[in-house]
Amino acid sequence: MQIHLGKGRVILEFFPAEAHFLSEILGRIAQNYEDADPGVFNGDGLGESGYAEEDVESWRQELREGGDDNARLARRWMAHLRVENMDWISWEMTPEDVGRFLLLANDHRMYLARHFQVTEKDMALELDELEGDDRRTVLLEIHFLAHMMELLLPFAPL
Amino acid sequence: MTRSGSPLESPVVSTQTGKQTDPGWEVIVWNDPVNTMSYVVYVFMKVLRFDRDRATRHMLEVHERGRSCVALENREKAELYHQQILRHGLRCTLERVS
Repeated sequence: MQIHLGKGRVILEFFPAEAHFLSEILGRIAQNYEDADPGVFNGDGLGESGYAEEDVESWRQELREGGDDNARLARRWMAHLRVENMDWISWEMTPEDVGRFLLLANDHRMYLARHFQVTEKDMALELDELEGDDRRTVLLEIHFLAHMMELLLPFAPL
Repeated sequence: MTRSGSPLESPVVSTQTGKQTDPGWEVIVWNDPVNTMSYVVYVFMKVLRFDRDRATRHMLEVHERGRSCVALENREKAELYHQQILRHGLRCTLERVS
């Protein structure tokens, strides 16, 4: 994976295997946002904390719409990563895309870490030191996205 | 661990927290095993408008001491920072100054 700037855009270049893997991850990111349990948006306790009912409903609505937007974005990005017998795949991102990608990628890393109870010790292990293919795949995703984020952070808008 | 109100670097302090009715709310960021150091610095720079050095000092405080108080504000502003930091995937809580 390489990264450089061109005509105000951030250009990522991937080997086909990297593009394929990232495309799979983006598919899972979209699916997770689409499958998000509405229960996580229930807003319990906000009323007792002094929030007006209309503010709670507006907050719930904002979260739902944000999740839907993120799912659409992840699916749109997958189209940039189609592997068609090329030596490498190029994906041009706007600076705004870079900021959004960082959010989605980090959301997914945090989701994986929470869902699979990833610890600090796990994070420090080499992949072949982990037990189980599922756990290795999860840690590979977490580290792959972290590597992409490290490459993209210098280009992220503040 | 030091008390949250005595971080390595002074947090963002609102001029409105001097009101007697509201001593202010601390925005606390907590350590976690997954977020990278450079991402945490980026979030502090983006959300709190810290310069890189200050963001790095608070990131290191989170990393080494487990938590850092990054802002001391009135409730409304503290909630805004809290929501924005959570939205970026960091562990963050609010604590009322007693």
